Amino acid sequence: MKKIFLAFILIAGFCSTSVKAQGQIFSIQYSMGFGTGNTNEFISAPSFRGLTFEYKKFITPNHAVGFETTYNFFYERKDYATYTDDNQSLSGVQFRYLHSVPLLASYDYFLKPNEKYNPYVGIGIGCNLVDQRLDMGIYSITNDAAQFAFRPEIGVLIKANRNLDLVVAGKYFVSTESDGMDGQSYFALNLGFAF
Amino acid sequence: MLALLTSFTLLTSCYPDGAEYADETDIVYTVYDKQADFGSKGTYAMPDKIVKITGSYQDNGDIEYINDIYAGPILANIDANMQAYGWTKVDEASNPDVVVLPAAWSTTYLVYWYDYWCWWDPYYCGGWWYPYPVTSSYSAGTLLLNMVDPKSNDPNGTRKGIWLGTINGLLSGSYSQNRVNNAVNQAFKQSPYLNTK
Repeated sequence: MKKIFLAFILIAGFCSTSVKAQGQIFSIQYSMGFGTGNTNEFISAPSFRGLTFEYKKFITPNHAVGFETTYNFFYERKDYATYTDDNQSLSGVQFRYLHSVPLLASYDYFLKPNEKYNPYVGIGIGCNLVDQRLDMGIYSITNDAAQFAFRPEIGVLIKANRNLDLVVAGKYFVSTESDGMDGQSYFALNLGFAF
Repeated sequence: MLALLTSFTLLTSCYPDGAEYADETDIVYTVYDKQADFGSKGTYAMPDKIVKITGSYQDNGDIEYINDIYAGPILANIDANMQAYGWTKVDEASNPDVVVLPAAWSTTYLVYWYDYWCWWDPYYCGGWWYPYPVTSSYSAGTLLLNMVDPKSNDPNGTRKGIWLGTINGLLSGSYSQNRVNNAVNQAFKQSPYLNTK
């Protein structure tokens, strides 16, 4: 956590020295993920290892299009337990990993452009690259998939200075079943900077 | 760009490593024949050695056994678990209901393992026909508990395996009897259908 906080201070320093480009914003955000549905079933622990990069191009002061990529890494150690399937039982400690990288095209609507607090709502559509791994004993089961992804979002830009905005956003990533992997979903709380 | 590099460096620096201790890699797998009627059985026989699988008996490989210092407590623990479930140990000549055949290995790859039962009695050659993992890392150890029904009548002329317990884990620097005992106990604990009481 200390490392992530340190990273934020460094990033803020870099960002505040840059010049905010006219009509477009870049954003770097720390992302915390909270699994729902199948994601939560596989790993119930939240992810505190996440990062989002966004680019938004304003068509008008209220409308912006762009793209986004997020990385969230879920991990959980499941205590020693017995798993039974029909006439077979398997006991052991499990280590579960899930990497999620949504790559999305985005559209956002900004409610109060040019004001200190500028709330917005947005959607994103694209794909979610998911890498799932389950380690048990010396054995490992892996599963990769590229899934169709959809992401609604609400957030707010808070003007910090002429070059820098703070970003607070809630995103809900949903991706559909594919490549033999169940659909994944998680809520992400993002905190970051836009410049 | 510097901001991106900093972010990725810090993210990857806190990547979890998984198992920290050898005993966290211990797994216990059991499977039983759904047609087996354990409740109608009550006696078992078991060799007084644990065969160490290193090659093929039928290919004139040397027979090796686990050192009695280690095998003795394991066999005693298997006996204790069987008897706690109501089984009575008898001599192999006394027509037991089942035969428990323990084996162990720590080799990289395993082929022809099943013919090892021939060392004790050719009657048990090829006594198992369930598929199960046969590969393991050189640094991992496996203990196999194979319960065979000597009265079964398989069309292939082999005896039928009715229960299999497999214990597998990473070998650590020092042997832990307690670790093995816990795993053997777990194999029986997760197989309550073996209880004949």
